Amino acid sequence: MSRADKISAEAADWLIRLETASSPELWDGLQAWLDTNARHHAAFVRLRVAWHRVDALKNMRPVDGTIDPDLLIRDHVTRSLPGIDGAPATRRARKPVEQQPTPSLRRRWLAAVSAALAVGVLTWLIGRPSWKHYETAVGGHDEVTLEDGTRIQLNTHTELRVRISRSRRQVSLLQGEALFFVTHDPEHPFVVAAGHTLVRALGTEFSVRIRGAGHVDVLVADGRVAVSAEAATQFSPALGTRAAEVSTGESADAGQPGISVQTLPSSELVRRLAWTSGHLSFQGETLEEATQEFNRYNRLQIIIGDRSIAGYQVGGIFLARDPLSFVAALQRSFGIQATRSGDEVRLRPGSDNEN
Amino acid sequence: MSKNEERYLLQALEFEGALRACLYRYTRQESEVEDLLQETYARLLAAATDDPEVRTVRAFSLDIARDVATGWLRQGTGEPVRLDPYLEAVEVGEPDQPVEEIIRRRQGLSRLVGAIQRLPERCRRVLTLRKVYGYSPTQIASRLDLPLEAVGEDLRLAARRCVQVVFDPPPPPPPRRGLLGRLRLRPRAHEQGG
Repeated sequence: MSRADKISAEAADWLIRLETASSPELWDGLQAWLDTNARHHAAFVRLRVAWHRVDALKNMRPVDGTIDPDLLIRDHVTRSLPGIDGAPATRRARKPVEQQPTPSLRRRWLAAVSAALAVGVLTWLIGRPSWKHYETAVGGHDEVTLEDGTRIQLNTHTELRVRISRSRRQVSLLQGEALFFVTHDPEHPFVVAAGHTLVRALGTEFSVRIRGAGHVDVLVADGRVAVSAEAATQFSPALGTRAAEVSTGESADAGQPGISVQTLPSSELVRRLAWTSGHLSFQGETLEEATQEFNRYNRLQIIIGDRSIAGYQVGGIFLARDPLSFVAALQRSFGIQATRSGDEVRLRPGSDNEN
Repeated sequence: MSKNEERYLLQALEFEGALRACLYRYTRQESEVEDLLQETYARLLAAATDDPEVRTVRAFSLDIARDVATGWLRQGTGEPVRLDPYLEAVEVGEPDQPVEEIIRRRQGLSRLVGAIQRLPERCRRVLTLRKVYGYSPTQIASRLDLPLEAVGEDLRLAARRCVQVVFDPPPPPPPRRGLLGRLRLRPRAHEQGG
């Protein structure tokens, strides 16, 4: 085993040990190992980044909720990624075009045609477009393209429904946060309902986030939207009196008692949309706010175990799916002690900070 | 593990393929390239701490990789191969355009799934539960009826295999054209520098 191999193996050992169990002693051990040699540090960072990139596999999770440990060798997964070495997709690509379909292929075609016919008949019977449902799990991130070309990015733990009818395009945001890139079509208003808030796009890119306590945040990256805080007008193109127009670079907080609009510096706009690239960006937020953000994205929950540290101000850009790096930064910067137990990391002031 | 200290390294990981291609000019041994790459990354960490003026991280990283490789040759540790015109022509310029970036990411996912399919069965199943479904190691152990240590062992193996395909690989070398092409030549004195 070469020196590089040995260091890489040790880095993998640390990475997985921290995933399996964590303790202050383990973190101290990791720090000591990292400090021994810059190569240790480099190998660990490379492995950590790679390991988080593997999280992209989460997008392959079946929407029907089934759990299949053999998912990644299933034909439909392999077919969706042509070019996999030695995978069925490669064999499929080599198949001559003129080859006759096999009996099993014929059966599949018949089944597909029958299913399509059945769907068509059902749609005709129902006589109206149905809602389509999209959701992401904790830590998930997805993008869907609607039939009108509108794209929607779904942030972590987000659920929404979409219906496109002859007269309008409707989205119902049930929870979480989504960014909309709306295709301009004045004949078909694009309306997002989120709790008691209604957002009507006027040709634009904007995000909508449901917060607690009946508050909804609207952020406009480009164009204009009209925001209404009247539940009674759900999906009506006409907005009520309690409405505000929000333009590029502005955000609106809709809830009780009404709608407040503020202009954001472009850096703040970029920061608040950092989630679209999988990052969280902090600039003076309290530790409590920052941990709440991380907890939106991860099964591993960061708990503030002592209120005396909740007001600490934090800054920096972090991978949303890497709460342990955030915790490590807190340990380093504030001397905070972290104790992991199962899916929780509990933070307490370090011995130097305790009164 | 400060983000500031890691900033050059984190950017350099995005063009690992170009760095590997650069290092392959000095050796064809995969293990030696790994060694030189690790040293290059270590120096990028140190460079970020020193905070020099960096034109572009890409060019800076390639300079460091060349320094590492030539230093290694000077120590007499390595036995360089004759520079290959193909490798000389490897693209180490500006980052990809957006469309190419999308294609590159998709190819990356294909490489990743391909590598996972080649893992031992138990390891593949453990990784799938961890990374596709977000199960914790304890949950995986319970679901697959495995000791927690075995889950850790599989995750370690999976992590090491994945890191080999997650970052851009260098372009595949062209087929060698015969015996002469395989000959590794000893460096001449003027090629090694002083």
